[in-house]
Amino acid sequence: MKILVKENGGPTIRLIFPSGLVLNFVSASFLPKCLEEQGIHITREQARVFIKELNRFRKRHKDWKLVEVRDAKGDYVEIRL
Amino acid sequence: MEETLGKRISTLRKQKDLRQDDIAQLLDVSPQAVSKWENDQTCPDIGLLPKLAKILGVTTDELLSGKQELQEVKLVPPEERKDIQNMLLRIMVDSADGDKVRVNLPMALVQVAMDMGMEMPQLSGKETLKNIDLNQILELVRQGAVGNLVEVESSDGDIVRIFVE
Repeated sequence: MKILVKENGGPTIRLIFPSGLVLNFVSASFLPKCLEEQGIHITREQARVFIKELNRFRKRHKDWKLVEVRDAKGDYVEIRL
Repeated sequence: MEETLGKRISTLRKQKDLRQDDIAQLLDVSPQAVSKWENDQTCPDIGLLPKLAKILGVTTDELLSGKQELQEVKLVPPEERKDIQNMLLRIMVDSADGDKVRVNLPMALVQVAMDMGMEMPQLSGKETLKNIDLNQILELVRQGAVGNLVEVESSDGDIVRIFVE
């Protein structure tokens, strides 16, 4: 997983760490509780399927850009899996 | 972040799961030439651009400018359709304040999210899309529709588009 944070006129921060560290069955077990706070109810099994699907797509499409945000001030954030 | 032609070639090549050798073979150039393009040491010959763009699945304009043209809705015949598991749902939000958000979600993940009972605002973070029925979008995609399927402009001036490719 690559996270890039670029502040307009400021430093660029690049964070690179194994996606498996975040997208695994352990994190899947925390997902239902986190989503519960957002009003989304899912079971542990559904969370596992969700993470599995994310991993499957990530492996098939390397360097997949999940999110890209550029604000009006020029700050930029990007997450690649 | 400045995106150069070389970086675009590299990103698109990886998305297509191609190696530099594959591109080199298809274009009848050396793998070193492709490597130099990707490292912005040299540029591809102008005569090669249309073929390179076609291999990478973009138009020559998109390859050169990096700006993706949003194709209108197109109905793809069954024999040319991509597997829905390999399709992307792109949510593009251009806020009135000038913020731009792009979220690229695999359709397979959208299907799973929908089974979980998630709705569009939870996926996109925009209340503007609260009346958009994800089931209907999936149904359209299953029937072969691709392109700019939804475009909404809110009273605040935010523009939200849903694009399937």
